[in-house]
Amino acid sequence: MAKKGLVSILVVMGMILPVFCFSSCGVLRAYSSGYFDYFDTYSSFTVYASSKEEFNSFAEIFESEAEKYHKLLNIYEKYDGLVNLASLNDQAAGEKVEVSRELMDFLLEAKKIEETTHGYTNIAFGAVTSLWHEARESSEEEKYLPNDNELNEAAKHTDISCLVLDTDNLTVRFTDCDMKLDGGAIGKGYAADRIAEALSDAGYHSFLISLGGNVVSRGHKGETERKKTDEPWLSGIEDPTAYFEHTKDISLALPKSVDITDMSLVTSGSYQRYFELDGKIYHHIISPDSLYPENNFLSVSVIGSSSTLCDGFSTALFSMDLSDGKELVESTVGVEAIWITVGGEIIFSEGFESYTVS
Amino acid sequence: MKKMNMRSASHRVAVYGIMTAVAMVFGYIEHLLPLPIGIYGIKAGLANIVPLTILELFGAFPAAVINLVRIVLSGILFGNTVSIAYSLAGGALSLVVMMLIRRIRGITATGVGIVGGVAHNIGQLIIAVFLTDEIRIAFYLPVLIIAGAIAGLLVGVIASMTLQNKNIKKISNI
Amino acid sequence: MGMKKNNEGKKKIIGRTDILILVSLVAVSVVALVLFGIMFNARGKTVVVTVDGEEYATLSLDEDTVLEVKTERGYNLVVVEDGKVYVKESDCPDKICVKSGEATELKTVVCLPHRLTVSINNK
Repeated sequence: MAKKGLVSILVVMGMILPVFCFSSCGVLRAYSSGYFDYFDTYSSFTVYASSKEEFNSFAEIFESEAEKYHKLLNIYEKYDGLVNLASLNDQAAGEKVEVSRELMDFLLEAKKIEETTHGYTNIAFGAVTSLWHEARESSEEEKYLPNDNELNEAAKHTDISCLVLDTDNLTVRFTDCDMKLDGGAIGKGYAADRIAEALSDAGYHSFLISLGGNVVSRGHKGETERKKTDEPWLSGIEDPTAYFEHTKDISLALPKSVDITDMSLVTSGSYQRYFELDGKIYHHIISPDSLYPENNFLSVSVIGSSSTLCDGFSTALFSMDLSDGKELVESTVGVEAIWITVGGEIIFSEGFESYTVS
Repeated sequence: MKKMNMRSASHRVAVYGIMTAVAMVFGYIEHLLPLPIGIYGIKAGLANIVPLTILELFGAFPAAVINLVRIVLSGILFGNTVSIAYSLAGGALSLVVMMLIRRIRGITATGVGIVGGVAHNIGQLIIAVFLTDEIRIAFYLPVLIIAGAIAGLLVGVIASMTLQNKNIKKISNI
Repeated sequence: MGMKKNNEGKKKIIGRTDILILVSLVAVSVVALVLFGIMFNARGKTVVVTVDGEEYATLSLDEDTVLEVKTERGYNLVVVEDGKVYVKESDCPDKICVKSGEATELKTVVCLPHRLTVSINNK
């Protein structure tokens, strides 16, 4: 009888041990992390993983891709041994500079965006944007507006066809020595697309990444290769009226949230980067028409499957007239937009409301 | 009904086999029951009827083996790796506790079933904490104790009634 | 076996001991529930404040709190009031964190120059 009792205990133990082997295939849960090191803004992600190890691998991939493009698309800093946009601005005037496949791909994409947005989003606009950047960064007491003559002169050096790309030999040359590249209008979108790609390639099915509010999601929440779910990734539309004295009292009826599952949502807003002078607001999105920031809108948000395209569009739409902007959006497949005017009016493109959640 | 001789191994195997199959049916019913609780994979513990009955009739060893076999087979057929883990933990703790509790004076199969049900859920909760890496799940303990007690009550009463059935007594030579 | 038998030698289906066990188990869990409830205002929503990517503080949305965050980069005042959380004051130059208003499950409030974030966690 005692032997039977002993065997029973052993059998019971045998039932408990396998359980610890199963500890490795854990339950799916959401992990998040945030960073201040990339693109001069706050970036974050949320990923569904079944263990801390999976989360750590995800974070590693995110960090290395984000850092890669942060350095590659930087126009203010150069890095030893790396040819980035800043180095091109220094060296490519008249001379052929060798670039990596990644940088070439970016420049090719940027050229396409310039065409699609009819020149409103143009990475060759750096000569003009740098004048505004300096004005914005000047100290509070010495705020000034860029000189009109300087702006007009700089505008003569913004022709993107002066950016010569040799895709076979991977070289870049500026045929205009005073041209400067500024990737700010599409940089975050492009990086977000590349980061999402790397993460999907590594096998992650359910995640949301955000680079300074430039949001990309993949899969439904909690989805894995085996198990499909239908819980959507949601993003909110920020209320821009809260940021300015002259709009604070406007009450906006914004949609509660937007379903961005497998999509990207990018917002350009005057409230993100601006300075005030003599009671007027000067934000960071400069129109190629007026060479000044346009003040038709408080914000424009664009949803689509390519974050690069959405980023490019949101910048362009900000400077365009509402009617021209609507035409551009309606004529582009898979892209929808929402405009918030300075008067507090909300305008949707035809298909935008199919994404909203009340 | 012809009297069966439980000393015969073939008779024992036949009876255990049937019991295992019955346990798997209960296991399937368990699998169909929707969980009112937010933890994915946790089971109700109704299948405990068979281990409890076997425990009373034939002892701890057969009960343990049948339990293990039915959990693994059920898990392969209609569970997933996570639910197997939960069932193993719940089944193991429940069986051990039931073996010990039976010795209390005045307790019937019903009482053993109640405690077994509670132990079953506690076992699952412990594993859930390990798997999800989150101690906060332990807050479900009160709810799981009550649910386990209720399920265990049902299990215990059914087992109790079964044990008093004349035919069962013939099968087990009691 | 300590199983109870009545006069005819038959076993009872349910006895006093069983009921005693059932009642005490239920009583214990009710007490535990109440205790947990008092300890952890468990509505589940918490506020997470991070500085430089690291968790700095966790607050409950149910408890009105005032949290001063003083780092070498600057000062922010995080307030939980009436189930809402926002940055009330900051000595950063643009005060975007203050203008951002309430943090929600969809919106994290960020003070870029101070590397501070305030977000809502719903578990």
